[in-house]
Amino acid sequence: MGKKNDPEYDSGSSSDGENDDSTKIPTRSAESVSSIKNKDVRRREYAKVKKAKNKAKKALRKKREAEGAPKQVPHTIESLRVPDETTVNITEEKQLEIEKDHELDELSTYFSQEVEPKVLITYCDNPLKKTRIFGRELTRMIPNSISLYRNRSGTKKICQSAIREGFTDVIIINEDMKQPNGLLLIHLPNGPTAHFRLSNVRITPELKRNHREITDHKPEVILNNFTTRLGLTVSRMLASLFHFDPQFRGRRAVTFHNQRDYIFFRHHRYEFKNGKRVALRELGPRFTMKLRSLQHGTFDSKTGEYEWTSEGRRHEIETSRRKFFL
Amino acid sequence: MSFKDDFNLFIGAKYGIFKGVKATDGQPLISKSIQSLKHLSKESDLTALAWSNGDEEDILIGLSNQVVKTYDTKGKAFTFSTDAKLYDKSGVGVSNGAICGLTRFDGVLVTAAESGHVRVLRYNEEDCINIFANGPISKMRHSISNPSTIGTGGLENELKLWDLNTGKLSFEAKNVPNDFLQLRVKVWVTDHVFLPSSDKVAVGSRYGYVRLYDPKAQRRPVIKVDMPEKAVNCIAASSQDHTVLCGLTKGDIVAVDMRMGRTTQNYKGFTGAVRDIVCHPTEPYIVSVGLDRFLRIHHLTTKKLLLKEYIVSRASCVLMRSDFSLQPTKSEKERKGNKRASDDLLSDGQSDHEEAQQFDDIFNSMEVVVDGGKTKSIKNKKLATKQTSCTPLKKKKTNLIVNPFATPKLSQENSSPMKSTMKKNSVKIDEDSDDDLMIVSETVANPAPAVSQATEEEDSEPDEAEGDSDEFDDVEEEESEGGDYKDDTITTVIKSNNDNKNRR
Repeated sequence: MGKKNDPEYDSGSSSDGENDDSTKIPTRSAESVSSIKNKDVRRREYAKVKKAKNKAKKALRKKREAEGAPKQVPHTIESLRVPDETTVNITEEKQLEIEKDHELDELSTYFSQEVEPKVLITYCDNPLKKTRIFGRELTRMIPNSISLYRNRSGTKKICQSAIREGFTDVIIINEDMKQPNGLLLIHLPNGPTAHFRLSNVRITPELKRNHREITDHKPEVILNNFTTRLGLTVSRMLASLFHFDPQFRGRRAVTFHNQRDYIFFRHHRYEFKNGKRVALRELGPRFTMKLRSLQHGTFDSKTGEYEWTSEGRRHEIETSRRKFFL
Repeated sequence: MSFKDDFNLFIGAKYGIFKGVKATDGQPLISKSIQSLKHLSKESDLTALAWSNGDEEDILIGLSNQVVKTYDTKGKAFTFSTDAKLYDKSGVGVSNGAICGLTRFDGVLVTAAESGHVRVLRYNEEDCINIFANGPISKMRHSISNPSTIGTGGLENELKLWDLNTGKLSFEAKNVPNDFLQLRVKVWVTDHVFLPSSDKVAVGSRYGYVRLYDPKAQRRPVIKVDMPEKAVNCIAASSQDHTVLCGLTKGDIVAVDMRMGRTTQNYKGFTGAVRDIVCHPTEPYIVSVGLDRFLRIHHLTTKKLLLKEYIVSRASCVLMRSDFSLQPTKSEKERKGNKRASDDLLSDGQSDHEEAQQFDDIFNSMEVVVDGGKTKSIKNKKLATKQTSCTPLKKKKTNLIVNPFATPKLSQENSSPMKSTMKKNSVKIDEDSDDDLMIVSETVANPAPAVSQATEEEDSEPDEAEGDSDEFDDVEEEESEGGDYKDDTITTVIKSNNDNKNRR
């Protein structure tokens, strides 16, 4: 005699038309309900079954909480992530090698605070309104950056002149159907180059904010959840856009949060209410990025060497829904 | 021989990281950084690796700051270091850039810098031959069939062959005719390779073509293969004639058949550019490293990915011993065999007499190997015959190229139920010891074998070698059955046992 809402059973498991003792609501099982011919009655009965089920579930949870049982960790595709062999912090020796790599790689001049970042933001040819505003807002948000129109110049030429002018990074925003849809981030002078797909771009008017709210203080940068070797490189690239000395007075924080390989960008001003509470106000813009390729050296899509690219091999590398690369 | 058992692959990477790798099938890969991580620097990327001579004892290491070092694999130390930089003395200019080719000719070092300068470094400054290749070089390679010939090529610098005795140009390739728009075809020789069987040179380009030059026939390529959108980063000769392997900048290795003039195979599994490929001259292994920080070994014909290992750094070159094999070497096999046989002795004490009789004469004909002065005891002779039955298993593990990801799994499955082996031991099966048991007993840690047993196992080794040829045919079938062995119940054990019997 399987009780429908027996604590031992999961909700939604077998039930055989028995009334539940604990809930005291006469209900039928889902199977018997489905055999009712009248649609109205069936619907009504099904609602009852469902309600009873939920109630029992809630009671069970309450009971568990009262017993002091530990909270169950839900099985999400993230918590069940396929382990990646390049995940940082595996062994001592590998860790040492990674640290050494960080000391010496192309981005090391930023992290050793030798070179202050200087960013050039530009667009595809003929950017439309939203893309232009988005670029301007990025300029306002990233300290020591300017946005210029491209004037039909080639990317390789832009890189050359940017190196000459002492820029450390170039951002090129692409648009399609009046929406910004791509972001190319080139670290100068020796790369690497990351190409992101851009989506869900919300500029400040769309968030009912004003870009004047963005102060020119140097923001704090939060990089969340970049675990693999590739993720680390990407996060370092993103970090090196902002100045390494944040001005805490401005209480401005930009967040790059990686979740399932999508990098969510948010920009906030925080305020300490009292010892415990913190208020957040989003300043905008807001967007989501997804890495498409990482190139060794500056931009050279045809003959350049790729460190990582998913182009043309999505089926090959995305072996599981639970496999992530960042 | 011991130094040859140590590492079978050497990998050079950015910032001068130099690693030795021991890759064996079914075992975790051993990788060790030979160069101390403390002495890395930005300027000293490791860009070229080469064997110093035929006996594969010393390795020449070329760095991007034009320093050449020698690593002694026997003494496990860096023995020699020299600056190969050319200062403007002979009127060919100053060499710049990384070392892009290293070799030894006639006992002297030959280096090539990216600026296009090739040097034959002799002891006396006057005897040095300095060559300027008339443009930047992407790679310098040494001919196998004609040891006095080297080849150079680079960006807008066609393939040139040089005679090292005189320092004179012996062959210069000519660009292909203009295209249908009467425009010049762009040239970028990123890598080239001398085909082992002939004088021909295959050239790969970032502009997406592979060409075959025959210096004896004509200056223009004899065969042209266009691969649009596929930028060739490195090229290697394969053990199959007329086929070259091209590593692409977007990842993937493509095998190009030079006779058919088209790509034949596509080796997959990469996510970043392939920097260097080595193909084993006889065995079907393709070893490749690249910017995606992985070492990969593919099977030449089946295209299967046999091994994939994270090597932390962005590798630029790889060097392979000519006796490289994923299968354990002979000495390792012996070591392993000893262990297995001793496990076997412990795991089932009863022997099948008829079976034993069969092999008795074989053992009698063999000479007694004495290990550490301990003599063989006749009492254990019967037990020693046990291990003869284990030979098919060894074949299974060693001769087949099995996916290393599959093999450990199988052994894990077998090893996990330890109690099952115990059960088997207690239920005495009157057949002789079977393959499953072997696997189990191998993986289960056993107490140290008795001294007398250790001597016995030595005997069995030669037999194993003899049995090679006839057992080989069965291997594949056994392998396919291997899937059934998963649950270690006695019934399956007996069944498989019978199968083996029938086949014999």
